[in-house]
Parts: sequence; structure tokens; C-alpha cells
Amino acid sequence: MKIACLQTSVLKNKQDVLKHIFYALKESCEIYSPDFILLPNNFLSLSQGIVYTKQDVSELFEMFSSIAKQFKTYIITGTINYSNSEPANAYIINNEGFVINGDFVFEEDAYVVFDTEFGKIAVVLEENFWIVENTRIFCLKGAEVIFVPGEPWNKEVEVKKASIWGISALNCVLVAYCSYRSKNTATTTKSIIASPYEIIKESEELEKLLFTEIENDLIQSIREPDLSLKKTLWWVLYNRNPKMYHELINANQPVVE
Amino acid sequence: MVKAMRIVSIQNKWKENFRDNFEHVLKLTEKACAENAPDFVCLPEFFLGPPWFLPGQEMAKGITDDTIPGKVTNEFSKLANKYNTYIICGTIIEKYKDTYFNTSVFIDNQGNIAGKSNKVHTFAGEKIHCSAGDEFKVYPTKFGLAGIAVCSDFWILECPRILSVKGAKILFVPGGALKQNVAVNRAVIMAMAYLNNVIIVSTSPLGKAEGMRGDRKVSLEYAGLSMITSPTEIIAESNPEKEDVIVADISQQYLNSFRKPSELSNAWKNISNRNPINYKDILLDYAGATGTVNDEFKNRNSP
Repeated sequence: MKIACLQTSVLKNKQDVLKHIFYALKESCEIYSPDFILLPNNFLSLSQGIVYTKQDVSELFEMFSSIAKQFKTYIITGTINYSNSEPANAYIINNEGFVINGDFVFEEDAYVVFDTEFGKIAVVLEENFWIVENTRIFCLKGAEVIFVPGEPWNKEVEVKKASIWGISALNCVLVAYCSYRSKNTATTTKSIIASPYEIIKESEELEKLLFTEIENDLIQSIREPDLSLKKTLWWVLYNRNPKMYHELINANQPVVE
Repeated sequence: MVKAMRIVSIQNKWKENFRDNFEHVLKLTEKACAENAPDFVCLPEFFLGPPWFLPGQEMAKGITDDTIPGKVTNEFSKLANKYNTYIICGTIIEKYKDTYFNTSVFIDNQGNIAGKSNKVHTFAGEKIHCSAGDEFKVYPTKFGLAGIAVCSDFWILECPRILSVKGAKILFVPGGALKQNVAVNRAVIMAMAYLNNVIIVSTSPLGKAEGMRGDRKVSLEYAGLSMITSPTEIIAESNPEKEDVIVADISQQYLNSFRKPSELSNAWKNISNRNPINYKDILLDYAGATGTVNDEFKNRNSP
């Protein structure tokens, strides 16, 4: 499968943002023919105070649908909301141009994975990704690729990179994390595609696009029990003992002092 | 005011004669205590040598296992008392009644056995020869709560998570780092420290166990991989190629800085922003498993 992380720019004007997204998506598809394109958080430059009407968003989805269908690609949108008062959601537009998921607000039944011809996929929003239970639950339900519409990092770059890889390893899952290009020089723009045994590819600071091609059965093969123990990461899913994990669903959290 | 804590992590290389490992590690520990005056000493999994159930290691039976308490813990208790240090006594294959456990003993700084953590997620041959633990324990120390994740327990992310949620500030990981996994192991240690907002002290022996299991040749090579890691950085790291002792000082101020909202680090959010009411599905089995790994391993490897 071919995965592209589109590191969009932050712009100040709504029309410029929409034009930028359209041309960046189209160009990426024409050059790379990706099976999946992941957009970052804030790809709509909401941080600049731009407000989108329902009509704007409707037209945006029409554009996504048209590109997805034309180039036979899945588009994972990054977060979309109309205003700051509404919850941010991310959407998956399949390669026939249809939105296949609902809201990604973490309600009780929100851990839904989606079948694609490349395996089961799920989207985890930036702020949820760093809470390990979220990706874990998706992977227990069979997710093989986790898409994270991410953000630039203002600190802790090395541990965050390690954590993306670590989450990939501890769940035997592919993780695609996409950031946007910030004009804030104090932040680091980093998109990463990690497999359990390695960081496959990571972006350079100002790169527009991170692209890589991965064998379709990579995760299935890593998850295949290997009793010769040459490969051992499959244990992370098979060797669990769920009856001992009730403390994770208790509300008590004596963690922050 | 509590002083900074000094942590020592020891990685030993197995001696050719397994009987020599006990005395050797005892001497290494005494030397490290005398030179560094540590508050905590962490030893690796299987520091006594390979257990008899690893491939080709039948001759180790009775040498690398012991009762708890027993001669091994008695000697380390004396060191703990003499040097006023907590000792996380790696792992010992614990003979208990008519079964065995892979057990890490927490010896307090008075030399008492404060408790023991039996490995819960037994790995490979352990599944046949050892019983599994049934508790994730935290231990009070004068520096705060400490937890032990015994080697493969650490790789099941629920274990370090539970220990952290129970309030552990420091996780000790007496491990056996497989050589082929060193790079990913390193990333996982950093990840677990950051995502659980804890100090992690890990260590591993160096050694190799090779032999036939059924009709397959199985080889397990352990690489030294000792690390002392905070949520945001690796504080000390061993040379993975040789026997080594690493030391780190961690001030109470530094430790506490991770425990409250801070502009310096996001690590506190990674655990305080949990929403446990939504996590009931973490009690599910992995959807792709066709059976339990225990059954599969036992069926394919029965003598």
C-alpha cells in the first residue's frame, strides 16, 4: 500500500486554504498515486481564526469525494469543525468518494475500525493518540493501520518519535502520523510512518509530502505467530491476560499531584 | 527533605559455569554499592544464568532456580541492609511448592523482602514450566511508589500502564532483551516512560541459549540493554556489548516536575487525560487470535 502524509501549510485566508488543499491533494495523487492520503490537524488553518460555513464544508467534501474517486485513493481528512465551539472530527473518504465513518469524538462506542482492501484501518485524533488505551483498543479490534492527523511539536521531539514507534511496536500496527507546516520556528514539523520494527520514513522539516510504499501484508506477517522466536512482537497482542486489566477501566487516577 | 535518589542498574554476562553467576553478581552488586552508595539497585532477569527450560539448558536445573526466601535472597538482603539500599533482585526462577514462577523480589533498604512480583505474561517455554502471577504490585519506598514489570510483562502495555495508574513513579524492568529487538526495545522503553509519565530503570543480562525444541532449532540471544530513562530523556544507558553498570542521580524536584501540569513537558497529560469509562473494550481479546497463545505454545512444544 502507498501512504502519503500531506504536510499542509497554515494560511490566513479561507480561499487560499481551500485552493492550497485542492492543488496539494491533486498534485500528490498525480505524482504518487497513493492508496491513502492523510491530512494533519489544522489543515483548514482554523488556528488562524478562519470560520467555515456549512456550505464551505459541504463543498470541501465534494472536492474530497471527487479527488478520492478520480484517483482511487482514501482520504483521511484531519480534523474538521465549523467553529471552535463544536467538537473536531476526522473523516475517512473511501476510494469511491464516500465518507465511511461518523464522528470520532470518543463516545463509548467510538472505537470502530473500517475494512479496506488493504486491511482494517482506524483514525486516532492527535490528543487521543498519546493516551495508550485508545490505539490499543482499535488494534484489539483488528486495526492494522492507524492514521493520526497530528500537529507540530513544540518540545520532546525525540521521545515523541520514540513513542510513535513504541505504540506501533506494542500494538503490532502501522502508524501514519501527519503534521502541518507551522510558521512558528519554535515548533518541529514531523510526519512519521512507523512499523513495529522500524520507523519506515520521517519527514524533513519543510517537506510538503511524506510518501512511502509498504507491503500489503507487512502487519499480517508480523502478527503471525512465530514459535521459532526469531520474531517476537506478535506476542504483544497474543500474550495478553485481559481479566487482569480491570484497573484500567476504574475511574481512580492518583496520577497528577 | 528527601535527597536525590541514586539508581544503579547492573547488567551481567553469564559465566560459562552457571554456578559462578551468583557469586559474580553478588560481588558486582557489592562493588557498585560500595562505590556509588545507591538508593536502588536493579538486577536483570535470569541474572543467575539461563533457566533450565530455555532451549538446550537442561543442565541448569537446580543451579539457576531457588526458593524465596532462599540462599540468593538471603545474601542480597544482607547487602541491602549493609548499604541501606533497595534491591530489585532481577528475577529468580522461584521454586514454590510443586510449581515455579519467574519472580522478581523487592528487597527494602533494611534487607527485608518487601514483596515479590511474579511474571504475569509468561513467555515461550515459561508457559509450560512456570505458573503466571496474578497481581501487578507497587511498593512503597521513601522516594514514592515503585513498580516492577518483569521482562515480557513490560511488553504488554497494560502492565506498565496499570502500575503507573496505581501511582508508581519508578518502574523497574528486570528484562532479558533479545538481541534482535534491541533497537525497538530502546524505543519502547522511551515510549513507556513518556506515555506513562514515569522513570524507567531497565536492565538485561548478556548471554545465549540455544537448543532444539521439538523439531526446531531455537536460539535466544540476550543483549545487554540497560537504561535509566525519564519521561523526556535517557539519563543513562549501558554499552550493550559488555558487562556494565550504569548510575543515575534523580532529584526529587526533577521527579516531581513530571507529576503536575507543566510547560516543560506534556508527559503528565498522557496519563492524567485518560477517560477510563470509555476503555471497557481493553478487556477484549485480540480479534485476530484464533486461540490463546498458551494453548498454541503448549500444543506445539509439548515434550
